Amino acid sequence: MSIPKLITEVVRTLFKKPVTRHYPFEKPEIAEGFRGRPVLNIDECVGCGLCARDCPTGAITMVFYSKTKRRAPSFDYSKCIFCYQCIDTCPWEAIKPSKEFELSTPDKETLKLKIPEEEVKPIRRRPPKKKPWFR
Amino acid sequence: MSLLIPIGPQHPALPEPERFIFKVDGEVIVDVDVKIGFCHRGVEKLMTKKTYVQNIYLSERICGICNVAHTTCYVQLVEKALDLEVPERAQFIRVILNELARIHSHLLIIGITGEEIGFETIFMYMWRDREIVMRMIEDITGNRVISALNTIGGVRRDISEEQKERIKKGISILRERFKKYQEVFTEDSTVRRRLCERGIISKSDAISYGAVGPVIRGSGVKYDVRICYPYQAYDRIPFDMVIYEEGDSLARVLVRIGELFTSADIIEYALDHLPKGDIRVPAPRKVPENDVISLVEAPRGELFYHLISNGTDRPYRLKVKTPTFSNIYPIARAMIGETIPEIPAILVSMDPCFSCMDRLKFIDIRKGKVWIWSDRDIRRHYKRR
Repeated sequence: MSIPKLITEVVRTLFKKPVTRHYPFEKPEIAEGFRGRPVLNIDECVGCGLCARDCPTGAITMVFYSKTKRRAPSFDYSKCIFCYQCIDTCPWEAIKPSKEFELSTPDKETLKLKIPEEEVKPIRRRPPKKKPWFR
Repeated sequence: MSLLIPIGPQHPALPEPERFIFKVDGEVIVDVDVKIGFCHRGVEKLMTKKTYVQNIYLSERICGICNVAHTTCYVQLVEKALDLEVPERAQFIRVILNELARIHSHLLIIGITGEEIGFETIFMYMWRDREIVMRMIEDITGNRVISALNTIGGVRRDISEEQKERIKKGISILRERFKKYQEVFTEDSTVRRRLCERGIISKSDAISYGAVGPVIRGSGVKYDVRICYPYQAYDRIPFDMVIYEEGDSLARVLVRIGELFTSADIIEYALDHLPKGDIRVPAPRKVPENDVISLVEAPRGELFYHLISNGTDRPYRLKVKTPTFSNIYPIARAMIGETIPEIPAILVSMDPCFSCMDRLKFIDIRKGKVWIWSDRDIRRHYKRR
């Protein structure tokens, strides 16, 4: 019989702290490269639409702004799977990673992020910051 | 006179739907009928509608647990079709991540085996230690389970020196734990009574039914894709196959425990011999006309992808064959002659993953024939019965 072997382990664990955490009261440690909500910096965006093209779930859609006559991406975080393909793709580095993960909400509409008309400025033409990985 | 006992669509071991019809004589199972297809999600069709870049993330979601094996297989396939050379460093990082995922998958299923045989303590300890691996995966990829690290042409994130140290530290802690589990599973009488000489698959059965992964290695057949058809950096890493001759449920569990040690060895070797250089090369979006296959050893066994491309940025046809599909029939065969209470324990020793398997309509390999039925055919067939 070898059950006593595990019993010593069981007895030892009795005097240890619980492994589980009391989540809402105790914040979890987040890894350095954690993939949270991708955040758009509209001033860097040129409205090329590559992010919307590569998004696997269709969480990004391009919206036309008639006042400035340009396109800008709008994010639906309820569809986002946090794969960061948009960050990978964007040659102008307009989408930035963040560590924000507490996105649960009773109202799904609050997760749809459309940049308001007054924040959208006309496109500043400039060369891309990085070479695209997919050509 | 025998009795028919339908079990499922909710199956007794894991919360996934699958239907088994057991023909029993008293307590003893005489015949098993497996009905698959409750999780059919149409992934293969969807893959032909999305671009190659988007399909990386879709292939990842065919199976959440073996997501790394699925992406490795998929990107390997597309790279083969593109004739793209992946940097050495990327290949080693892929190997490291594959083995980490293997450890976490094996710990999960060994824990569930413990739960199914009524040994819940081991289940809790296994899952506690699984957290160490999950943290390591989160550390190097940014996500706990769905890693999204592989991409066409390499990997998306590099492993730094500090991360290397953290992984080595975690592996050394885990290795001590694995030793304890091996002791429990080889010596404990509770485990032996439930698993030893239960659900035996003979060597010839395993070969003729086409079992893969730990199921076939538990029956004494030397077949491991990592050694037989090496992919990525596996041909440059020395390791041994874990083989058990018995073919019972315990042998399958012990194969998995043995593989935990091999995986730990592979990770340590790969970290020590990680070559310097790029981790990624640019890839074209359009894939020229080609017809390629690729094989990967997923935690559950051999994973197979077949791509037919037509020169556009979307696949013309992509076929996936997952390990559970190969293993379900040998396991159904192994249940004949056992008693009803043994069903969950035998089933879980195969590591079933039905959401993985159910992209197929129907194939019957029991009569030695393989044919594919459409949805309507199945209905017609069972109406006639």
